[in-house]
Parts: sequence; structure tokens; C-alpha cells
Amino acid sequence: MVFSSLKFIFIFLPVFLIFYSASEKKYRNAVVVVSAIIVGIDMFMVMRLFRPLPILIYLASVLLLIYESNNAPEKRFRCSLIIVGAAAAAYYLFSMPAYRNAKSICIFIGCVAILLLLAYSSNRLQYQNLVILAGSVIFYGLGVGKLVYIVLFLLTNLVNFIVGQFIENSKYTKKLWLFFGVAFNFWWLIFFKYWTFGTENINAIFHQSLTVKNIILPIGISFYTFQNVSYIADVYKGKAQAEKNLINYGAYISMFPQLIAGPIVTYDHVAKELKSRKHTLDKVEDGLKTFTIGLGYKVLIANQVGGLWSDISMVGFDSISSPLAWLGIFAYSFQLYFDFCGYSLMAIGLGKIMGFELPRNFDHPYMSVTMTEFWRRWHMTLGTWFKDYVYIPLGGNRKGPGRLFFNTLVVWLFTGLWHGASWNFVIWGLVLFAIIMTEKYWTGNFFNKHKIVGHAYMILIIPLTWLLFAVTDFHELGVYFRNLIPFMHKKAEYIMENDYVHYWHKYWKYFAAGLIFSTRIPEAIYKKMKNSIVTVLLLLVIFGASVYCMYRGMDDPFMYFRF
Amino acid sequence: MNNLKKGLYTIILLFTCIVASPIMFRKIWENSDIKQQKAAARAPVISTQPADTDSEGSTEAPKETQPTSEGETAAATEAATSASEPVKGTFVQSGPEYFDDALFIGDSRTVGLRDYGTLKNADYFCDIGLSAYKINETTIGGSTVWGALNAKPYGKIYVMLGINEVGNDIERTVSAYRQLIDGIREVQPDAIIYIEGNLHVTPAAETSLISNERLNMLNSRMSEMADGVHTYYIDINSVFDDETGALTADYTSDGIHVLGKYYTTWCEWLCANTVSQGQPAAAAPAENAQAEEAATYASEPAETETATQGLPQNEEFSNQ
Repeated sequence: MVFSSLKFIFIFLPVFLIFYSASEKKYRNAVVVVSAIIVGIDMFMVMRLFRPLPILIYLASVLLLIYESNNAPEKRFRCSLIIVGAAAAAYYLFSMPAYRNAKSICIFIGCVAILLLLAYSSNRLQYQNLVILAGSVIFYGLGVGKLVYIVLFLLTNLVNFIVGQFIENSKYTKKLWLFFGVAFNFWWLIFFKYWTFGTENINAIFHQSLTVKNIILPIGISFYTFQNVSYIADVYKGKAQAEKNLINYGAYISMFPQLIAGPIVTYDHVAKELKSRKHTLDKVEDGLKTFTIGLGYKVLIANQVGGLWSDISMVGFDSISSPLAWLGIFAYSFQLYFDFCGYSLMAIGLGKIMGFELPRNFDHPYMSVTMTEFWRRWHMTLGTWFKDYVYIPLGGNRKGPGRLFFNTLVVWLFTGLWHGASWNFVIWGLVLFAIIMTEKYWTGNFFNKHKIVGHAYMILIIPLTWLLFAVTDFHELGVYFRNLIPFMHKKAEYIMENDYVHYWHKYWKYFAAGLIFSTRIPEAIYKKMKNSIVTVLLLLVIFGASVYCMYRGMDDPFMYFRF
Repeated sequence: MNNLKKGLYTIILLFTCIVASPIMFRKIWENSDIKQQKAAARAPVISTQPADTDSEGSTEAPKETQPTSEGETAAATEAATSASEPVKGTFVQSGPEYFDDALFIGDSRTVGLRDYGTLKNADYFCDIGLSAYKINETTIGGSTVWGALNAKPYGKIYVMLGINEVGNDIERTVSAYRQLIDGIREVQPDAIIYIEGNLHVTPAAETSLISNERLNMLNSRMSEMADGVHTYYIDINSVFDDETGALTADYTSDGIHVLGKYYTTWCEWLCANTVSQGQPAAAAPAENAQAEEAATYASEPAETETATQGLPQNEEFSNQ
């Protein structure tokens, strides 16, 4: 499940927030009544569940909740909510024959019992962390769809939690535990992400015939592995204290806003907030606004401008003219940025609603004048991670220029591989390394002094590096590069005449939007006018347009009016 | 009051979401509902107009003379053919000038043919996502398909629709398709209508809704509409299929559309499979053995009749 889907915005998020904020007595009645009406409309007008069992569940739930919301103290009200939620979940789950067996019923009842126990016995913040954990696991489960992956995820959390305790408490075996923890985390990452790639290459190089397995990567593994490692490393270095509460730790790692696509949050960033945080209307307002902006980035810019890239892939790189080839990589660059940046913004916004300050992930990367600067502004949390947990432990720049060279190389090689298990990512990493090294020793100063030249250089070089990133097949990559150079470009019959005019006509609006929102201007304006009515209205329009796009995107999936 | 101002966005957003939620839930529900019932061939549900287009269709009825007859193929063609004896055509090779008075109606595959094919002399009425269900309401370049058909007489009309509809009930699709063909017949009685079989997809692109199996079912139903006199069925799949009867993976990147450069091949194939009516039965193009099969299938009974009835029908509409 992704943030930019109707299911997330209209089902998951409201339900999550109702559970999350199940406390304040004065709002309870209103929330219960409104939710009851909406659920009623859903069940009986949309789903038409006019069978005795659902009607009974519905009526009983509503009556129970109304009664409880007037009488029960906070703790009991939480439990009532959980019971109602469990009843609905049970109805949904056990209506599917696949789950109608003793084992899953036992697991289900067990989970609900644990939740009830914890919810009743904990204070408000503990309960909220519990809701974050439970909600995130459900969110993750809906995404990966397989029980094994959920179990693996929970197991990883548990192991890291225990390892953290051991590292802090042991005197002599600290290093051993650290080693074990890092090995454990990376083993799973390597297994899921690089096993296939590794065996393929071993087969190709050494003429072996190891079985190449098609392993499906559990989503988010790259992100949560890095968070887990950062945690145990921080505990080892004494930068952070080990978390004493398993639920808090689980809430930190699994927190659904950042679970599947970052930002990579280090533990010290949220340690304080896990134990005490404030929820204010200001934060909720701010969070919702940030979420809306992110949603707009993703749905209204990235998805739209990305259409050009998929168009080009569809007709094949053989059949595009030089200008269109350039247009294509610009479109891809915009798509990548707004997709990822939008996702990070949505995560930050959701975090804010729950009272967390998640770190910023993008700071106008396309406004940089050098590649070095670009990578300080692009996916900042990943860069910081590599700096803190690879570059500096290796010695950083303190061990002479030779070592610095080597350390930087390692960082970029791993950065390349982290983005994907394929040779083009390795080459992409190496090219970035080469560019950054030349900037460090040679060109960097010049570009920093002559900003205009620097921008021009970036405009050229960023899309080119993204092309390496985008195309995994080397033959195709070669074709594309040849197309970029006008005089090496073969004229052929199967290239649409003036194709770039055609596509430009189709996509120029999104290019314009991409260009504008890559600059610092919109953010500066937004910051100044944050609380004005105009901003509110504008954001509402963005939200409405995004929802409309998603709604249209789902238009009649039965018919797929896509082709 | 201060709180209200501070939380203005939150409040309005919550309110709009609450108001919009029933619509959204309906959408989500229908979406998941549809996914659950796998797209197996079901009993015919709707035989005439699709229900959802009824309201729209009645309000914004096209201004052009839209055919009113529905599902009267047999009657219409009988009336047309009873006057003069049916003249069956044969498939022959033609040059690109054959397409001077041709109109292509289709979805994104035809868009590709327009943009990357070599037949720039033809007219095209095509758009991404065009479907037989909604073709009466869809406007492209300011006119509906009926507007385009009324604008000038065409000698040949190529229709390839179905990839967007194939996930749906086959009967419904066939009925909508037949309506379209009948309508074209009525507006352009002298044109040769080519029903193009839908291009297959690669196994990787197959879903529970879109599969080659279903495409074949649909294509075979469409081929039944061809009478070999005014309507002919042609099928490109013999050119692009691999040995398993799926679209060859090398020819495509998304599994649904062929790469730009292969539209040239497609156009050559179209040239090689043109119908000549009333001409002495020429030898079917030899360069494409598989296409020839399709050709002979459609023109089998033609061999004898065309020889005797040498009416040059082609010229009739070219003078109009």
C-alpha cells in the first residue's frame, strides 16, 4: 500500500488516527457518531451487506461505543475500540476461506488478547506507540502480503532490540554483539537483494551452474535494515542509549510513514519523542499541509511527467529522435525527484501529525552547482548514513589522501549497490565517484565561483547520470546514449517526424511545474504565507486534484482503459 | 476562534474527506469487488447499451447522424446484398496509396501505428483508452467517430478495439463492437471494413483480466462478424507471435505495444493484406505464409464467385 492511494487516505489513515487518538473525552462522541454514519453508509449503501451477521456486528459496535464513550475512562474506551476493530477485522478475515482454520484463529485471538492487555495497562504515550507499532505492522502486511515477511520483520526488530540491550550491558563482548547484529541485519539484506545478482554473476564468470532463484524482495528492507544497523552502532558508540521498551523500539523501526521509502531516521532523532511528545493542533495542521504538498508532488507532477518516460520506453529507444531523447531524461529526472521527494514529504507530514519530527530528506537538489553539493541535498538521510556508518568508521579523511580516495570509492560503490542489484547501478556509483573526485581536486572551485556555469553543468550531468540509473540493459543504454548525440543519430523511417514537438505539446505543463517546484521559490513563498487563507484554499485544490487523479486512475479497473 | 483559524486546513480537509468518503469507498469497493471475481467468461449480462453510458448517451446525443439500428447486422447486410449478388473479395498486395481513403479506428495500438507507422496518408480516429463501449461519446479532435465518418467517404475502414475491453464480459464487448461495425456500415455503406484482431500480449503482461486466452476468445468472436463481402477479418498476430502464441518479448518493452520500429513491419503487413473486390482472384501474397492462412480462410468461397462476377466495386465509392 502506498500513501498516494485512495485506500490509504480514506481507509487506513482515518482508522489509524481514530485508534491513535482514542482518548480525549470531549471529542469521543462526535468521532463515534461521525464514524458510525460513514461506516453505516459504507456497509449498507456501498457494500450492501444486508445479512444478519454484519448488521448485528454493526449495531452492537455502535451501541457499545456510544455507551462507552459516555461512561468509560480512557483505558476502557481504548479496549472497547480494539474489540470493535477486532470484530470488524475478524469478519473480514474469516469471510475468506483461506483463513478459516484453527491456526489462524488462534493467532488472531492471541494478537487481540496481547493488544488488549497492553492497551489497558499502559499510559497514553505507551498506548500510542503500541498503536503505531500495530498499525505499521498491518500497513506492512498489506504491502508485502506474505506472513513470512511480516514474521521476518518482527524478528529482525526483536533481535536488534535484544542486541542493543546486550551491547549496552556487556563490558567485554560489546564488539562481538555489534558484529553479530550487523551481520544478522546485512545477511537478510544480502540474501533478499543480492543473492540472485550474485549467483548470476558467479555463474557467468566462473561458468558454474548455481541455481538462480527469483527471490522477491520484501519492501522496505533496505530502509529498515539501515535503521536497525544505525541503532546498534549508535548504542555501541554510546551516541544513544539502548531503548528499554520493546514497543517503543518497534514503533521507531516500523513507524509506517518512513517504513517503506524513508527517510532513514536514526534513533537519536526520535529517541526523545518516543518517550515524551506533544500533539498539538498546530502540528496536525502543519503535518496535513506537508502531506498534501507531498501528495501533490507525487500524483500531480511525478506521475504525470513520468508518462513521457513510459511513452519512450513503450516505443523503444530505437525510435526516438535526439531532442526527444533529451526530453526523456529530463522527464525521468523530474519524475524521480518529485516521486521520492513527495514520498518523503508525505512521511514527514504524517510524522508531524503523530508528533514526530522526521528529518528532511531533500533540499532542492536540482539547484546545486556541483555533484558534491547535489548529493548533500539529495536523499540526505542516506548520505548521512553512509557518512556516519561507513565513511567515518573507515577513517574518513583523517588517514591521508590515499585512504580518503579508497573510502570515498567504497561509499559510492555501496551507494550504487544499495539502489539496486545490477551492474548499471555499480557503474552509476563509480561514475558519481569519478565526478565527485574531479570536483574535489579540479573543477569544484570553478563551478562554485561561476554559479551559472555550475548550473549549466548540472543540467547536463544530472540527467545523464540518471540515465545510467534508469536503464539496466547495457545494449539499450548504448542505444540511448547514441540517440542523445545529434550527429551520431541515425535518421530512420520509424522515428516519428518532429516527435519531440508532439510530446512536448503533451507534457510541457508538467515540465513547467517540475521546473518551478525544483527551485527554492515555492517553498519560500509557502513559508511566508503558510497560515493565510490563500494557502489553505490552494492546498485544498491540490488535495482535491490529487484525489481526483487517483480516483480516475482507478477508473474501471475491470476494463483498464489504459491502452 | 483562534483555534479555528489555526486549524482551518485541518477542519476543511476533514470535512471534505468525510463528505467525499462514500464516493471513494464505493470506488474502492467496486475495485476490490471486481478483482475478486476473476474474469472468467460469464453468461451474457448486457446485450445492448452498457448501463453506465445510458444516462450520458441520452443527454449528449451526438449531433451527427448516428446509426440508430442496433444489432441488425443480418438484416442490414441482407438488405444491402439482396439487391446485388454478394461479391467476395480476395487478399492482395497493394501499395501505400491504397490507404489514401482509409480510416483507422482504434486504441493505443493504433495511436502507435499513426505515430510510428509509414501510412501517413490515411486518416486516424484513435486515442489511448478508446473502447467500443464509450466510442459514441468519445471525442477526438473535436468530433466523435460518427463525425469523422460523416465528414468524408472512406474506401476502407480499419477497426481494432478490444484490449481495453477484454477484461470485461465478452458478450458485452462483442455486442458493443457489433453495434459499432453496424453503425459504420450504415454511415459508409460502400466502405470495406477491416476488423483487426487484437494484438496479443506477452506472458509477463498477462493479468487475470488481460490474457491471450481471452484475447483469442474475443478475436474469434470478432472474426465471426466478417462476412467476406463488406467486412473482413485480419489478424496481425501471426507476424508478431512467438511459438507459444504470445507477443514476442523482443518486440516490446511493456508487453502490450510493439516497439516503434515494428510499426513499419505492421504497415507492410497491412499493405500485403488488402482486399481487392471484384478483381480476378490474384494470388495471395506469398511473403507472409501465416497471413495467407487468414486470408484464405476469409476468402475461401470467393474463388469461384469473383471470377464470374467481375463488378469493379472499388470505383463506386471512390467517385462519391
